[in-house]
Amino acid sequence: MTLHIIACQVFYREVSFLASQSSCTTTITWMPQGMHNTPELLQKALQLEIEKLDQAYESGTLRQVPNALVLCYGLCSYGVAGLSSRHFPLALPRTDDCIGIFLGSQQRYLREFEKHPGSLWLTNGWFETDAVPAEKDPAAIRAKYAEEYGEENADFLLEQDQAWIFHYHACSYITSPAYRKNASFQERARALAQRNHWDFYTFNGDNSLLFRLLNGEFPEDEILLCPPGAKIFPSFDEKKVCWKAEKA
Amino acid sequence: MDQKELLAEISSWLQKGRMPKVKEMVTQALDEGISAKDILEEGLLDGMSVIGEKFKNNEVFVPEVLIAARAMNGGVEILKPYLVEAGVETKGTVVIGTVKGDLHDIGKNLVKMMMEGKGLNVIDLGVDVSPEQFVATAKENNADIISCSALLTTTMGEMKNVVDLVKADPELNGKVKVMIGGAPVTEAYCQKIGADCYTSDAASASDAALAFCQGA
Ligand code: B12
Repeated sequence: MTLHIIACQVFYREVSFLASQSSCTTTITWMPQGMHNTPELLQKALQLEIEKLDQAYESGTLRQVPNALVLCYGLCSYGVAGLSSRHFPLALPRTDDCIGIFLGSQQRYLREFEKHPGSLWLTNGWFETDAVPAEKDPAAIRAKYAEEYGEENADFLLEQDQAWIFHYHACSYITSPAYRKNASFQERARALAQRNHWDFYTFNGDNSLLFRLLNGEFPEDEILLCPPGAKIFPSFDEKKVCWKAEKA
Repeated sequence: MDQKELLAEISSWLQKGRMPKVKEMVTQALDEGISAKDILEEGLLDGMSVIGEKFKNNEVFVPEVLIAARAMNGGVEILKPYLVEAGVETKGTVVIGTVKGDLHDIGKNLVKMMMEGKGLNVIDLGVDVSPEQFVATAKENNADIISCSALLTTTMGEMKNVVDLVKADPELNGKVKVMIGGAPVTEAYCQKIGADCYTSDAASASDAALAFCQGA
């Protein structure tokens, strides 16, 4: 079986490692991490990548024709809603966001989310691809506000920017089996927790869901398989996503 | 400067988020004998609705709205004693909060500010608010509306719990409207859980809330 993977860069090491272990032949498109900040643009960017593959298939220039397109994404504020391919089934994990994928299952995510309310989740992939919230220097943030909105507003805007920190109780750090060393990231997460007076928890990451996805196993309860021509929709229930035949 | 110019000036400083300037001009307007009600409506609220509209159209961003709202609150503080004297009543009461398990509050705060900008009395329960808290606070304050914000699909189902709890309560059912919003919330979801109203942004949320209160 051949799979084409479209993955958020936050999974760079996990996906790279698991692709090497997969029984499928894989090709890949990496998407920049952080596009979840603008879910509409994320949706457009993902659809564009699918469109490129559809077009290459139609013009006969697609060298390796995949049996399915695999999306390494969660629902992520509906960045995946409306996606559709004319020729390929789309496979998508049934999780709210990447945290469920890092933890190996949506059920485990919900369980831990409930047990540790008010938690900021951190993963190695996040550390490697993005600025960690609350790690930025407040003085630098303030200076930027002063420049853009005037000295009289700088303190106020900084306060608004940082207020959320006080609503949080914990930092939950997820290790990853794809990293040889997790310790340095774990220490950064711990330091962040300490600085903000949060509790600190470590969870063992679990790549099994991601592996099933990249291995071409798509169990219905964990992974949506949207047939060619149909569209992905949020289902507003515990299955998270569903597909519907596109209206003519 | 005549009255019209002065009020336009207040509106314009407010749109720039210049609180000290707005306070100064509001005081000047009072000194010149302009009524508190006119200063509020044609100066402060006028400026706030311009900002709300611009935000909706992506012409300004979150910080601009925050500093404009702060400038508005600064002006309102000065006007308050005069408004009470003149008997300007609040137009309705809204209980607002972010649902249980969810700590996002930027959008919720903007909705609150825009609602206050419409002259509504807004009780803010903050983040991580349980359905029971929403309902109890609505009762205590005889509220017209419960407004729930949710940013996580993970916990968005709490909105249904709020709707169900309101419906199950003879004191509230049919009297208190439940409004819902936040990035993952849609009209389809609103209908699915039987909430009374969904809007996609803070400006239209405040319009809808005002319409509800005036209709009721
Ligand atoms: C900023 C942000 C944060 C900040 C929040 C700061 C704060 N004070 O709120 C921080 C960094 C702390 C944060 C944390 C987390 N976040 Co966050 N966050 C965002 C982000 C980028 C923007 C949200 C925002 O403020 N938008 C701006 C405001 C103005 O828009 P808005 O809230 O939609 O509000 C407007 C309308 O919706 C409407 N509205 C809002 N409320 C209401 C209410 C009513 C009644 C009405 C009518 C209208 C209305 O009016 C508003 C103004 O027009 C979104 C992605 C996105 N673009 O949506 C992710 C996002 C919501 N977060 C997400 C996640 C996963 C998290 C974390 C779990 C991440 C982690 N690593 O731990 C934690 C949450 C923990 C928790 N329990 O809450 C995911 C949610 C996925 C999901 N499960 O559904 C998102 C979608 C990003 C992603 N990865 O895909 N986040």
